Amino acid sequence: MTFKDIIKDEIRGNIPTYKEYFLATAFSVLAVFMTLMVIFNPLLMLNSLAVNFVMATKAVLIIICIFLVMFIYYSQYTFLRHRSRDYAMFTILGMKRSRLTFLNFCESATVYFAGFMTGVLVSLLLEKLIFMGFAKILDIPEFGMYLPTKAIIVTFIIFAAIFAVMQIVSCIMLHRMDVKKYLLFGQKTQKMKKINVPVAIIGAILILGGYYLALTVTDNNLFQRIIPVVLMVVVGLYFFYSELCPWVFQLMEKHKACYFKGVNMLWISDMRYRIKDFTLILYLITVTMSVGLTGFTAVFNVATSELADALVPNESTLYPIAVLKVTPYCDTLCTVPKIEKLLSDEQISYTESTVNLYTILDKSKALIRNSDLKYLFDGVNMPVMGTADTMRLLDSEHKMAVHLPLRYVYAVKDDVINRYTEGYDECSLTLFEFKAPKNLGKQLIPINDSNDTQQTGEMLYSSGLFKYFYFIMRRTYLLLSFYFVIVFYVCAGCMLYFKFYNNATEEGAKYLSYLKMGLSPKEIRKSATIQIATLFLLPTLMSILNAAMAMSALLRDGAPATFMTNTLCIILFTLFIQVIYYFVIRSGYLRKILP
Amino acid sequence: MLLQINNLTKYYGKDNVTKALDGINMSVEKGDFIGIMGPSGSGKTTLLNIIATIDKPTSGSVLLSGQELSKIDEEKLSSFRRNELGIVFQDFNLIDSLTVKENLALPMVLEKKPVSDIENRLSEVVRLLGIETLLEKRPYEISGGETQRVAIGRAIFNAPSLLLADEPTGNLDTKNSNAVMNLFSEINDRHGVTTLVVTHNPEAASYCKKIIFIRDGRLYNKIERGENRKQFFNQIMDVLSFLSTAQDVE
Repeated sequence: MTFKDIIKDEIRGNIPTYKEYFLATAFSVLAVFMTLMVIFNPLLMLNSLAVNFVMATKAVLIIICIFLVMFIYYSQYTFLRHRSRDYAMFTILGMKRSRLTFLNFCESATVYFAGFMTGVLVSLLLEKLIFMGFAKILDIPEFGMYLPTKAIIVTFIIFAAIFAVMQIVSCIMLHRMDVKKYLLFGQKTQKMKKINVPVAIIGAILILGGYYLALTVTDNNLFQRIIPVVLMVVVGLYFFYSELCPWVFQLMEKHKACYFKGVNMLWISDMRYRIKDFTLILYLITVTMSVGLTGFTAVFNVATSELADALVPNESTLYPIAVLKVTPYCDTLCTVPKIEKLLSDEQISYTESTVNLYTILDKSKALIRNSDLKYLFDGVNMPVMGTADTMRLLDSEHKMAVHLPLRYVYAVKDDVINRYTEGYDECSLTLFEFKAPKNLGKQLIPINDSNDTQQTGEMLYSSGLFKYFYFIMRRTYLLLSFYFVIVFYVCAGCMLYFKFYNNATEEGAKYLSYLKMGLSPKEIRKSATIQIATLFLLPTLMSILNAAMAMSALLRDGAPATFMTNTLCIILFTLFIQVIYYFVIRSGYLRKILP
Repeated sequence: MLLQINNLTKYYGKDNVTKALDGINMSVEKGDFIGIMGPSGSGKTTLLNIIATIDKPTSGSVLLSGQELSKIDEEKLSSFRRNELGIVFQDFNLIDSLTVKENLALPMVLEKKPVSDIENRLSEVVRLLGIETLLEKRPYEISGGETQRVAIGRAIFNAPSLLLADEPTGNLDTKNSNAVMNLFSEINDRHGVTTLVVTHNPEAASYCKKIIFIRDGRLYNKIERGENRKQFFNQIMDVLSFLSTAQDVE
């Protein structure tokens, strides 16, 4: 048997041990890759409306990476812990440290690569599913397919760098390995850590102070307060889990009537003992979920705030649809018949008027005959500006008549136009007047998309179409926020699963000894359930609290009443999802500790 | 008669190929202090586990105070184990997150007894064990001998009918082994607690009043102690050497 065979056998024989490390890597890749796919999505970038969102996503990516490095480090440490006894045995049997490091490298690289590939494949599938599913639900056009080569390359670089750092750390750890200590890894009793009460109080002050600053924020100091509040809460949260929670459990131990009752003694003392072990993971989960939930709630509120009236027909628009034929490339009108057909299909009675316009200077201004103007806008009180011969008719401030890209349209006496229009570009403007019961923006999209302006020289303008584009933009924001909240929650869920799975393996022996001591399975289940519920729901509740505080700071006075309802609905929905996930985790955990 | 074991068998493996216990019959009177000895794999721990209701027999019956253990409902079993049996393990099985005091009180706490009753019983047990100074410490802060004393204290906290111990001196040095066995003797003599101890250690076994020897899942021999413990120890050694010689010849 060669060293290569040993490596192969070790990898094959330890597949169950790799499960957690593999899952941690796969889900970390998923989080980063799915974020990068949005950043590098060329189809999304074409949608100029989503550019701001992509900018925000880049900031989110940095946060994700920081926390994932911590998570991967944690899982790598756990992986090494699981393998430590075998590594110590190999050393005792005479394996050189360099070979041991190489063995560890081969194992880690195999698991890491498998996790990477799985993460990428699942991400591709999930991204497509989310975009397809939510595009359908939200009734917006799909983004279409694209191969995220850039995203794959960047993800690979990020994870290769993380892997390299982890390997250097592992290499150092293995070279400094104390064989005796490694043999006892996992068997050693974990001692009750001392609680630092001043730090616990500082943690409480930081969190409460951060919340106070968030609640009392005003328009004037909003931006100055964002960084201090985030820092206070982020630091405070760590102290909350590391010192404040154990302190609370310690105080509960002093309440004898409650503590010396049934399984209370078991779960309270166990919680005080375990919460320190869970500190890092609970902290990571809380921050991840807080960012996801706050971002989602904020985007959801903003995106839905103007959706309600986005599809209402613009009653004040005199001509809801206008077709401007700028240059006479093509003799026949292509867009106008389509609009006529649409209006007929929708059984909308309409009047159609066509007049000539003459563009001047940079084509952002045009002239119109006084008679045509009178014909189009008879009885409409138009704003009159300029000299007697010219009249500013349709500017960006007055959208009541018709939407055109022309900044100014000047009404000029007929004889002046007739005298001087020779040599000017002639445009025809076809206007449709009708009262529609609904906004026709969605139906106009295919007409607008099929119209090749370069070929036909026709441009379609409609207040309904603009409104519908706006509607799509808001819903695109919504889709992206759904996308990210799923990514964040999948990651948080994975971290929780990872910790509980890992913990159940270690706790199994303890619960078996409880059984031997005379505890009933029911009592053990009760104690374990309270503990899992606390450890599971604590980050959920803290993240909800953080999101609620952030929302109250962002919305403040004057926010529509729907914001509060939306926020409440999102919070309740989040709780609902988390409770379902809790039951899934709980059942798996209990099966593992009490087979 | 406190404990009656009738034709007890326990087979392991897919087709019950491994015989751990093969037709054990024995009885334990109230106030007995019995040691169970035998070579590794002889079935002594299996026997103790079945009496402790941790394991179930393949056939046969175990009656404690006339109640057949295998017929006790699964839900009531834990309560029965807690109230009627006290179990001491080789690896102590104390809960690291609890203090010594809490570990001792655990059986009564689980029974939801009033705090005042718990405190009263606690002072009695602590006095018996002589561990007043250890009460606020945690298991990992005290020595092996002290840990086993606490484990014994926890086992007798609910005043069980039967005290069972599986290799209680297995992890202890000679001095602590003797101290622990003295404690068992004291509990048996002064408080009349019926005790069954599984042990490899002849010196520890010499504290018992009777020794039952098991070999290949069957009762092999039974000896009783007179007044002299040293003489009893020699008797145990004789049986053990005979046992090992018989094994070598086979």
